[in-house]
This record gives sequence, C-alpha cells and structure tokens, in this order.
Amino acid sequence: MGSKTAIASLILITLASVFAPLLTDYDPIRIDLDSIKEPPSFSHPFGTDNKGRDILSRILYGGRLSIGIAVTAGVISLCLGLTVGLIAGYFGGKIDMALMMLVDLILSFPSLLLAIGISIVFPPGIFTVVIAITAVGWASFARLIRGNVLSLRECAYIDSARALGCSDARIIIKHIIPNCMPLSFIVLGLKLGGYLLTESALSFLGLGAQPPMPTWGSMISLNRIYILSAPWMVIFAGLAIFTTAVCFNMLGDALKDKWEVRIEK
Amino acid sequence: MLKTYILKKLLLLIPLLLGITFITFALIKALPGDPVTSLAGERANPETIERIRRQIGTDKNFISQFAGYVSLIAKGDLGRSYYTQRPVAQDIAEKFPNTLKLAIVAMLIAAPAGIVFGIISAAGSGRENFLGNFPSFVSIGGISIPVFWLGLILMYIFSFYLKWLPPSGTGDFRFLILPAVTLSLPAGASIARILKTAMLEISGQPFIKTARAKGLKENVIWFRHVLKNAMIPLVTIIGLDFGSYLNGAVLTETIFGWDGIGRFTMEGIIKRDYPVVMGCLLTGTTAFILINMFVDLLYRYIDPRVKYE
Repeated sequence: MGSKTAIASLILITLASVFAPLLTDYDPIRIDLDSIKEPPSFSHPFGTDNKGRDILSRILYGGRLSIGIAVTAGVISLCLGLTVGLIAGYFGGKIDMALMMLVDLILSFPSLLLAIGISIVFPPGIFTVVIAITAVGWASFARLIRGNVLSLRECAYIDSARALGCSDARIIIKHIIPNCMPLSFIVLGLKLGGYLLTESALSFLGLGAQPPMPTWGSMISLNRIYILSAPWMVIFAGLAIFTTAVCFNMLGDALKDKWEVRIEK
Repeated sequence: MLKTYILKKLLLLIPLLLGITFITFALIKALPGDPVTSLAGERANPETIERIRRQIGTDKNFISQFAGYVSLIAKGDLGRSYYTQRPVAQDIAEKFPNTLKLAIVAMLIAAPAGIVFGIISAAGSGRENFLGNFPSFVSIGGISIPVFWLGLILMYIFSFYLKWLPPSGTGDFRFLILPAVTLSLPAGASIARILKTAMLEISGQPFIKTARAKGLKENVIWFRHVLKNAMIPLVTIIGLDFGSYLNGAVLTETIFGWDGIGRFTMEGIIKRDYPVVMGCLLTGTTAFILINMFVDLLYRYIDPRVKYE
C-alpha cells in the first residue's frame, strides 16, 4: 500500500522535473525585480525569492539536478561497486584482501567529511558532486556484493557450470551477475535517499552546483538568511528534498521486503 | 581475563592509530593543491613561497614529513595551524568538549526515542492500522529529513517565532537544545529501524513460539525475551552513531554556529590547513575506536554467552 504510493509519487516528481517547461511559465533563472519575496499566492503557489523568481519553477527545475545527481551517482556507484565486489568475491585471495582493505578504509572515514575533502579537489559543480558521492558510495556496494558473491560462488550450479567447461567470464556474466541483481537494486533503493541528502548537503555548503542553476540544497543555502522575512523561500525546497527522500527510502524498504519474501519461498 | 583483554586491546590501539595516521597523512598529501599558494596569496614572489614552504616543512620529502609528524604526536603535540599559528591541540581541547556535550545530549534524546519507536513499530508490524504504520513512517521520515533544513525550521519556530531559545552560538544548556534535537532525529530513526528489524527477526525464532506456547503474556514475551535478545544490535548502532557524532556534526554545527570539531575540520579541509585536519581526524578516530571498544565490553554484560579471546 505505502510502497505503491511512494513509487507513484516518485514517478510523479521525476516527470514533473523532466517536463518542468510544460508545467510552469516562469523562468527559474531570470531575475524579475517586480515580484520580489512575494508570499505564496495563486500565481506563485510557493511564493517568489529575493530575486523575484518563482519558487515552484525553481523547485521543478532544481529537481532535474538534485534527482539527476543522486541517481547518476547511485548508478555509477553501483557499477563500480559491482565490478569490485565481483572481482574480490569471485577471485578471492590477495586481490580480495587488497580491495577490501581499500573498502574498509573508505568506510571508516566520516563520509560527509570525505565527500567534502574530495569535492574541494575539483572546481565546484555538478560533476564534482557526482564524483564526491561516488567516491564514497561505491565502497558499501562493493562490500555487500562481495558477500553475496562469496555465497553464490559455493553454490552447486556454479560448480556444475565450471564442470561443463564454462570460462570464468561466462560464469560471472551469465550466472553470478544476474543473481547479484536483487541485492544490487535493494542497496541502490536504500542508498538513493541518502545520496539525495548528501547532494543537498554539499550544495548547502556551497560545494555543489553553482548559482544561478537551482538545486534544492543550494536554494536552502542561499535563502536561509531570509528565513525571518520570507520563510517560504526555505520551507518548500526542504519539503521537496524530504518528500523525495521519503519516497526513495520507502522504495528501498519495499524492495527489501519483497526480496526477503522470495527467499523464504 | 577481562583485564588482559582490555590491556591487549589498548596496546593494539597504538599500531592501529599509527596506520590511520599514515593513511590520513598520505591521503591529505595526495590531494592536489598547495597550502602555500593559498597562504602566500596569488601574487607572492618565489622567495616568499620558498620561505613559507620551509617554515611549514612541506619542502621535505614525504617520509621525513611523516616521521616529523609522528615524533610530534609522540610528544603530545599536534602542530600549529598554518593560518592562526595556534597550537592545534589547544584548539581541539577547546572545541572537543563542545562536540562531546552535543553528542551526549543528542544521544540522550535519540536512544530512548528510538527504542520506544522501535518497540512500538516491531509490536505493531503487520497490522494495517495507525499503530502499525505510524511508527515506521516516523522512522522513515527521520532518516529522510535534511538535517540542515530541519535545523533552520526548528530555529525559525523556537527562536524567531516563539522566542524560547537562542538561534545560534555556543553557550549554556539553552544553546544546546536545538542542535541536539536536530542531530538526534536521524540517529533516533535509524535506531528505531535497526531495533525493529532485529526484534522481528528474533520474534520468528522457535524459543519465542515456546514462550507463547507455555502461556507467557505478550508484553513479557516482547520485553523479557525479544527486546533482551535484540540488545546487541541496539547497543552496536548506538555506539556507532555516538562515535560518529564525536567526529563532529558538520551540518548541525554549521547551522547553529556551534563551536565544535566538525565545523573546525571542515574549515580546515577547505583552507587546506593540514595540521588542523590531521589533528581533528586523529582525535575523532581515536574517540570512535574507544567507544567501539567500550561497546565490545558491554556485549559481555548484555549476553553472557559472548567470550573474549
């Protein structure tokens, strides 16, 4: 019940961001000095900011970057973590030890500080945020997928595939990867909400996408000084982050529950 | 037996910390960008740059820089900030108690709230009513809320609108309430989620069926049998969260202007003030390891079956 609502809302939020130009006539970037800090009304449902820009339109366009960055970082982390986890789990031995030492090293640092450290190396922007989230994020995928591969490797059907003369590459691609998919998607679902929050935190600290491009985090960061005179400038962007993150986390929980049921069968 | 265990763990701390120091040091040095150029300014002449480089010691090779740093730590010194020239150890000694205070108060809120919500949502799970859905929704909401936004909203309500609490700054207990509540929400939610999962897993085990079969009351089953067996994951997550608080809560400290380790570390990272970053990370990691050692020791009291080698 709850999970269906979450998935539907997630699709709705994503579509609304993608088709933002069809939904709003206001430009998210152009400054309009005639309508500065207007409270929510019929023409501006979420109000306007200190430069007269419609907040709803900025949230819709901002979703493209915020959700886009979280999903991109999630997919890249998954691919990297899957590759490392497969290599470490399947081949074992010294490669496994070296790779897992690297993974443990990354996981043992405070993740936000590590992301901040990585993001100052590159000029602030969308790609830097993706790199910062991915550089920290792949490690937990790698650790979980490695564990999954370790148990899959011992299965009888892998032995029989080997006895039939399958190469390592064929076993990995045809037999191991498909069986790693449920876990991969569960972890992805559970992590996306967190990546959205990390993205908005980095934007909030000024290390994310740069103005005038709106992201939800930077909208809160830039507008926080107006919280007294125009609280709507801060409230709605945060609600957008919160709602989307709730949907991602409910989706992750739903995937987890579904998968566990399948195991019991 | 226990004493030798603790002693052995404490002795193991030394190589562990040396390893962490080495890795952190290497990572920081591997980052592109030179602290000297930001210290000297963009238009500094080569002599000035060379002089500063000699002054802070980045002209030497990596191994001798690392050896120099380790011998410094051995004397209980963490070096001086490149910018303020203040001893890093002194700054940390001032800021760490603030971080510790915030962490303790936040955990005093998060742990009881998380435990209560965890129990309610475990006991109510499977029921499609308010009692079954509400606690899980609260805990999902708790891990999904952006802390910096929550902080701003709480500040708006309690400081500006109701005027009950000061908006920001470091000071007495009144300054502590808002940041502690902000920080406690995500941790409380994750405690509730972990406890719920653990309790549901335990409630499916045969000994619970036996307890039910011999006619024990439901609340005796939940509290005396299920909760007691869920204590280990519970204590583990509380320890991990508390340990990560001691590394500083960057966002909460930034919003509320709380003078703690997190903000200090972040400023150090952004300004490439290496001694500050090293000192903070070392303090944080040491605290984190000590907390987890303590959690390890607690396991024995929670579950007598746990044996230390």
